[in-house]
Amino acid sequence: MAAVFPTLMIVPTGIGCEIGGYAGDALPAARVLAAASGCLVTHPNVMNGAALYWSDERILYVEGWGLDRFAAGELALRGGRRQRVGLLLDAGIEPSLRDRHLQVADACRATLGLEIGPVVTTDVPLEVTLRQGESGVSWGSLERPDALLRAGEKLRERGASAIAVVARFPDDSGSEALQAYRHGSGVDGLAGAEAVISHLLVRHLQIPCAHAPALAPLPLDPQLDPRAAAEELAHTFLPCVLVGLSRAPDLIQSASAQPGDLLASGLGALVVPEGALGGEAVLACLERNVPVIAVTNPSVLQVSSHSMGLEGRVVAAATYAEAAGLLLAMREGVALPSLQRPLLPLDCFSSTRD
Amino acid sequence: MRIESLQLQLPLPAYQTACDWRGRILDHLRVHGEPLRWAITSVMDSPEGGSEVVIEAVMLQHEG
Repeated sequence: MAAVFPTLMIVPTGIGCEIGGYAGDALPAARVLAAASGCLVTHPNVMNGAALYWSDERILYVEGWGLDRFAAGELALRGGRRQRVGLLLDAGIEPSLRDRHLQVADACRATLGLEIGPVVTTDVPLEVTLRQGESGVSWGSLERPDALLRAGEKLRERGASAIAVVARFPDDSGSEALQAYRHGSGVDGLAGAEAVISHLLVRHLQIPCAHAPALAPLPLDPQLDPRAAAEELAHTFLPCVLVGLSRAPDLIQSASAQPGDLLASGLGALVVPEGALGGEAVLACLERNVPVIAVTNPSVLQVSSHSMGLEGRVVAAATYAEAAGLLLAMREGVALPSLQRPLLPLDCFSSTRD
Repeated sequence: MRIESLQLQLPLPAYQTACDWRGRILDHLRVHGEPLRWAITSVMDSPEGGSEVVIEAVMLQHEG
């Protein structure tokens, strides 16, 4: 098999993708793309299934802000280190829910052998708010970003090389939006605010960070969609975050990169949903002429290759299985048109004087 | 530091392809603060040629 073919996989957070818009339900696709490429860079929204996770040495777990900076050529990724994962808890979490999260951290130490700690609680509640953009994309905010960053600084000072942050999110036990999500037809209303929290921390500290929301348990729903089921198995969403961060690559300024670090210039391809081509990492890859595979994966957005005038610039794939086949062909140096019929005639020109 | 959401409608000229859009979008966003997270959420053909894009963004406002 040819050398690894570093590939970036993005399923944007909070846009309701049919695959990857729920509880880590793009993870099977990521596993196949990792096998085909030998090295897959992807983000927590793809990998996090609350109590469920998958650990694969070929997958680099990179939070979205760091992912954007990597795609833009500003950061490099350095794998191979076991991270010491500090736990940042929102002061707004009630004592019993806080204990549940501390027990998850203890379980990951005792059962999985992860290095976790210390634990720092914010000096005031973060006060997370949720909202939706006009497009239907989930967004959100927090009233006390200063408290988040202070707690993050304290964790880094005390030896954490990565941070799992748990913020208390507003409970919702009966809204139509939540019901639609649980039944497999809506946008994850928490995802936008989660991304804001983790983006803030990574931007400020430049170390791997990821977020798990703290929520009261929901009543049993017999009609629960399988894609949302992973979030209803346990009391917290934290295990996948601790596992993902424990092997996340370090974020290195590109100017300080060493041999073996992965830079955007080493990317072989980008795999992204066909209707979600308007994110910063995608535009940065287009700038760099990274081959783009656009997979049919409907969402609330229609920012497509057609609407962006990119029809000849991206390769279409009907499924992630097809995208994996395309990656394998690229990795092995097989020209993609050779796999299609009809095979177009060669371009022939005569050499004439101007 | 404050966090604000922003929606921006931006014309992009026909002589630029989507491969050139990122820098132009960032220049426009930075007028309103520091962009933390953003994406194009819709693209339309512009009557004057080129494209008109809608961007939804989360912006940081630094005080003092």
